[in-house]
Formats: sequence, structure tokens, C-alpha cells
Amino acid sequence: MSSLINARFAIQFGLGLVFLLLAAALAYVFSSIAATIALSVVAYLILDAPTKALEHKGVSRSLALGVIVLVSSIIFFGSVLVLGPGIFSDIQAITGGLPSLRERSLDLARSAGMFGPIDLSALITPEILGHVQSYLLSIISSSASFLGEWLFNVIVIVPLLTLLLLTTGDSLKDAFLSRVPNVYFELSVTILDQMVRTIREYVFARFMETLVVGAMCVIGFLLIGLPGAIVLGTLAGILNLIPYIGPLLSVFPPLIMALVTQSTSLAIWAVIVISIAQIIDNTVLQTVLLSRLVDVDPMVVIIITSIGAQLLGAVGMVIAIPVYTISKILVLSLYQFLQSVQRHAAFSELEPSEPQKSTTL
Amino acid sequence: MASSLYAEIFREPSRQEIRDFLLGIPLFSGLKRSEVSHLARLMYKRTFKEGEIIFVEKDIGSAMYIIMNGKVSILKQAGKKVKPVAHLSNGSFFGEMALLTDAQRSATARAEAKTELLVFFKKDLEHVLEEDPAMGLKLMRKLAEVLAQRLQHAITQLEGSGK
Repeated sequence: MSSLINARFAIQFGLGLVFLLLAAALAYVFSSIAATIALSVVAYLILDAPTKALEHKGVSRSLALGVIVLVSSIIFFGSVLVLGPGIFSDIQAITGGLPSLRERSLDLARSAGMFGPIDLSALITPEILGHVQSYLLSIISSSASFLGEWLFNVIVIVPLLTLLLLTTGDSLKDAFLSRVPNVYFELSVTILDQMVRTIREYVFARFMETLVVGAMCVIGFLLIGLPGAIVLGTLAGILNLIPYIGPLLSVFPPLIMALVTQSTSLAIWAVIVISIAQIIDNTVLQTVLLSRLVDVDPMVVIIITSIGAQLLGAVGMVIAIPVYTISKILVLSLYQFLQSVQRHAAFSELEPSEPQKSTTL
Repeated sequence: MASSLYAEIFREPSRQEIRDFLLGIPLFSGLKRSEVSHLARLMYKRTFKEGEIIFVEKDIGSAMYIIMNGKVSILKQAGKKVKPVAHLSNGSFFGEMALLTDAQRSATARAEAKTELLVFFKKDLEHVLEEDPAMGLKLMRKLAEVLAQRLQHAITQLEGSGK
């Protein structure tokens, strides 16, 4: 009988895994819709915590919701209005500096005494620099078109969905859980809570890390007088989200910008700014914010990030670790759940015996 | 079906019934009305059929159960047999060890009649302890009192069976 239960357990576990893989495949196929929903859920998870904290202080749900929506709208649209013009002029400065890339590179290499007697014009040909220029322009234009595609989602759909979730989130969860059979209930609530907590803590930690690293770079770049400081600093913060490769990638844009527009010393200062930000991030921020959350082997991180990059590009690299962590929770919970079902089945086969010394507590 | 789901999602959750019930439970006797209201919002109400298993021995527990209505038996496995060790009714609670440890369930709980239970999760107790330590402390003290009483009860029983 127990071998039959074990066989059933293996089949159920396998079917559960297949179901999880199918769900993942569906999210991949409809990645745009899945991403919009995921972004709304993330925004909901971020805003729901302060709403509940206000509610706990005695503020009504409607008022708490109104306050949180108002404050977050002011922060979001205020940032766009305050930083928008600066970002626009920074993009102009970056694109305007690109044509002089070749001349500046040659001058700097010559002045640094690099390559000795070798003819630099032969090494840094207009074709090579043309490729570099078109590569940099393609990054800017693809980012712009990506933002354009997402603008409607980010400005209209995501806030609406988030508001809907904030208004109905708890009832939605209750309605879902009320349909879960008793035997699955305790574990379902636990899994749901683990997933929500993982996403919430991870998003908060990475958001704070991006904000602090980005702010440090923007301030540093402004202090050294690097053109495009706001855009390049923000980019450095965002690139930092990509594990291992991100910090390395974040060096190049300010480095190229400094080389193109100013001098070698500015380039060195730009690298120093990023290095200081990275040292603070690695020694302070990651220890305080992330060490507890991301208990993943570095080798696994590299493999998962590579798979994420293959499937979804830059977005895949950023979301790879949280998706992996949630998948791990789901698989472990599935295993735990099926073990419990197995115990239930085994229990029903036991024979009842007469009560000997039962107690009423 | 769709309309009932819609009503369920968009209703203002009424927790008054749960709050009023909790106010009469000794475990929550030291808490303010507003604190009990907050706890009522954190609890889930579940209905079990007669004979339905609530949890099984060796399951990893994450919640405590309070009986609103009905009867529950606590059963222990002994080889291939099952022995009832306790019968619980309205106002009693069980599975409270799950709130304090990550240990496996030490016994099985089964509904002996149609039973309405309130489920209080460990994660919510931890949340209360973080957000409102004073309220959390009162709750923990009450839990400790009940556990001490139960331990005393078990010792008395053991002494009785040894004579």
C-alpha cells in the first residue's frame, strides 16, 4: 500500500511540476500582459504595506488609500516634472557628443602615448567608430521605443490595475482562499504569504539599492562636472540591478561620455565615482538589504541570469533571481503539500481504537 | 456564481461576528476592543464537515485553530491505531504550538461534527509583534499562561496514571 502511495506521490509531484512549467511558458508567451500584471502586483505590494500601517493606526481604509495614492502620485509625477528637463538635455548632450567620438579617442590615445609608433588611424577606423556610434544610438533609440511602448502601460494600465488591487486586494485574496478546499488551506495561505513576502522584500531592497547607487552616481557626476550626469547616474543605478555584469556595464557610458566630451582626468574621476558607489553598495547596502534575501550560490546566480538574458534580454537579467526564488518556494511547497496529502491518505487507513483517557481541554 | 464572486470581492468585509466571539474567549481577555478587532481582521473562518481532518500528525504547522461552533477530537497515532486524547468544543483552541515553533504537529485534529473554526496564522502573530509590540506581548503572555496550564494538566494526568 505504501509503495502505491509513493508512486501516486511521484506522479502528483511530476504533474505539479509540469503545471508550474506550463504556467511559466504561458507567462513567457504572453510576456507583455504578464509583465503589466507583474508590475501592477509589485506596485500593489509596495503600496499595500503603508496603507495597512495607516489603517492599523485607526485611519479608515478609504482615507489611507487616498493618502497613499496621492503621495505616490506626487512623488512619481513630481520626479518626472523635476527631472524630465534635465534628462532631456542630458540625452541631447550624449547624442551631441557622439560624432566627436573618433577624434577625441584618437587624441586621447595619442596624448596618453598608447600604441607607440602604430598608426592609430588604422586601428580606430571610421568604420569601427561608426559601429560604436550606431551601437550607442541603437541603445538610446531602442530604450526610447521600449519606453514608448510601455508608456501607456506604465502611465495608464499599471496605475489602474494597482488601484483596483489596492481596493479589492484583500477581498480578492479572501475570495480565492474561500474556494480552496480545507485540506489545502493552511499550506496555501503559507505559500501565498511566503511568495508575497519574498517579492515585497526583494523589490524594496533592490529599489532602495538602485535609488542609493543611482543617487550617489548622479551626485558624484554632478560634482566632477560630467555632462549628462542625471541620465548616466540613473543608468548606473539601473544597470546595477543586473547581477555581476551590471556594475561592470555601468562603467562604460560615463567613461565614454567623459572621454568624448572632456578629458582623461574626468574619465578617471567618473570611474572613481562609480567605484566608490560600488564599494558602498557591496559593503554596506548589500549586507544590510540583500544578504538575508538572496541566499543563492554565485554560480547559480550566473547561470540563472544567463538564462534570463537568453529568454527576455535585459529585463530577464533583472527578474531572473526573484523568479528563481519564487519558483524554488513553489516547488518546495508542492513537495511539502504532497507529503501532507500522503500523510492524510495514510491516516485514513489507520484503525480507530477506544478512547482510554481522553481529556476535555 | 460570477455575481456571488463579485459580491464577495467588492463587499466590505464584516468581521464584527468574529470580533464579538473573540471578546468572549479567555485567550483574548486582556486585549482592548480595538486590538481584538484588529486580530479579527487577521483571522480566517473555515467550516469543516463531520469527520473531516483539520491537520495530521507530523504536518508542518503554521496556524492555530479556535472553535467557534462544533466539536474537534485530538488524536494520537499509536502503531496502526488511533487514540483520541482530547475532545474540544466551542471556545477551545488547538494547534497553538505552531505559533511558537516550526515543529511538526504533535497530533491529528478531526472535526467530530459540522465545525466552524477560526484560523490564526503564525505570520500574523509575527506581524502583530512587529507592528504593535505591546499588544503582541499581551497575546504572548496569555498564550504562555495557557501552555503552562496545559503542561500542568499533563503532569497531573501522568502522575495519576503512575499511581
